[in-house]
Amino acid sequence: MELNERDIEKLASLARIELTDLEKELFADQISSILDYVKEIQEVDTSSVSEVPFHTRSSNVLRHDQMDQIEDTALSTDQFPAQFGKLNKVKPVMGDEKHEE
Amino acid sequence: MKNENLTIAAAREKLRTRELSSVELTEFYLARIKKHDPTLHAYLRVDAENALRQAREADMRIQDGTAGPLCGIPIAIKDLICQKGSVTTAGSKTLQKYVAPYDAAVITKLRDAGAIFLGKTNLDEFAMGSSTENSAFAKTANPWDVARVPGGSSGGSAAAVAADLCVGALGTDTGGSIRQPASFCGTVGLKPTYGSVSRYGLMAMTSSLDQIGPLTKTVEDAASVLNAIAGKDPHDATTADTVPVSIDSLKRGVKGMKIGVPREYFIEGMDPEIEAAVRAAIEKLKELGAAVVDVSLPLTKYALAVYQLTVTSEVSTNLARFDGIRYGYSAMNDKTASVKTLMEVYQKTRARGLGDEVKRRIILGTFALSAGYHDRYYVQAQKVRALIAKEFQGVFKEVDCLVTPTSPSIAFKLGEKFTDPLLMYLSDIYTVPANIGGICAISLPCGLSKGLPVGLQIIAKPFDEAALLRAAYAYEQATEWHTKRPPLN
Repeated sequence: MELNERDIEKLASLARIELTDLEKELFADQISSILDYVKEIQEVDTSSVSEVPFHTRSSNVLRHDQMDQIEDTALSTDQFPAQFGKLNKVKPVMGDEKHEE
Repeated sequence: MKNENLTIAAAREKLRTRELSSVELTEFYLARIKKHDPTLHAYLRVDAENALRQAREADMRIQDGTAGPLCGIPIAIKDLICQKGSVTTAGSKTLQKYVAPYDAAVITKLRDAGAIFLGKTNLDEFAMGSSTENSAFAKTANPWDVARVPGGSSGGSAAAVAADLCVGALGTDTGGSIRQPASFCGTVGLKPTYGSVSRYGLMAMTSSLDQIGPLTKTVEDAASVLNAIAGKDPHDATTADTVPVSIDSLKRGVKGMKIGVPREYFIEGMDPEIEAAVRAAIEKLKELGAAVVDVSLPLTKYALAVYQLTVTSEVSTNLARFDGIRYGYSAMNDKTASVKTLMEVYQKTRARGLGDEVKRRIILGTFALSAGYHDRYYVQAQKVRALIAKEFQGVFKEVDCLVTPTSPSIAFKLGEKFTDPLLMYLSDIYTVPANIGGICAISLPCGLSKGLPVGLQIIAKPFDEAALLRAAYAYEQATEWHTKRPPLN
């Protein structure tokens, strides 16, 4: 499977990462060679495995739905990149800005 | 003071008999770190003040008879594990100033056991790498040869143990990140069975594979640390009840044990000195009374590909949280980024905060999970993974343990594989199957090649750490490889 720079650009856009032209070129090369390596799994007969399996002991683990007191919330809230009082301030999700997609 | 190369067992005895205080022991390591770490860069941060405060408390507890099993023992923690109030970076620029708001489950358990936290060790960014060269902050050197890598991603922890800059350390292992650096640095490194140790407070790389474990100077020490950190945790639903490994049971020897040698781990063209060291170790186990048989695990050849697809897929989702909105580096606060829209915040935060290997894995994972390719890559990888686990189950009906090399090479030179990701991934070829199979494995020293350590890997079935450690202990005690130390000035 050969990925070109345009493919990498699309994937990077889905993953919300801005890439330089140099990175696109490098990743296209490197990811193509990794995909070339991993394609060998296609040759394994997996017809005996019916669906996407759970790999750990697959039993539900439940706990009571109880309120918990969180101590030192400031340790988390003080790390908000932008604050408005005690609130986390973000750029408008819907606004006048033109979306890229 | 004759404190060089103390094991946990020896340090505990010195503390118990008051030959040494925890404060003296902690000062000893702080002095060694000061002397050697400017060359090795095993640590990202050392917290002397906190360590000495903990040591004073430990000394009091030893005095009044309330000491826990690791009371007063100075250890190092891989900087992927959250320690409340301390900067925890994951080796990433994006978390350069991040202060962990809570303790990981393993930190709580080690605190309760009385351990002293010397500091946080270097790693490949978010544990993605096999050489510790992907750290955003420093390149750790191998104490045996500072021109070489310590392995990765727990390279800082392995180098710190090998250079005697701590008694023991914690690392994490997703595809060999404890065992491969242990092998490169001549220490013991244990990857417990998936589900043995809580991942609560461990920054997630590949949630279905990540596991925390010890890097130590001896097998007995690995068992002591495992006993302190293992067990069910309500904060990690994948954890199971575990039975502590009895230290006395380690000493029962390998007589009556059946050990398998999987032929797929000994391939044409492998490093002849590594093969000779591992074959000699197998002979030694035979001499000690183990029955050795050849076995075959034909699906081994697909393990690395399955691993790559699983890791990158999970990385692409797990690392979506580093978006500059709630914590860590944010392009919003970076004047040079001049972001205007929310989309730009995401894109520029991730572009500037994450390193190349992380970006590469996110993009590959995004591809493996994308519509049209999901079945061919991610789903097929999970199906092959189930078959690999089944193949291990089959072989463990025949044998108690498997013995293999840990790594196809000895420690390579800094920079040697850095620009070729696929070549770098191949250094995990013998370690990833144990993660894919959800089983336990250990690396311990079994020789020197060109003056550098060679690692022996022993693999056992899920939750049979007792058999794993028993075989490892028998081999270790019958040889002197674990006593070899790097020639530090």
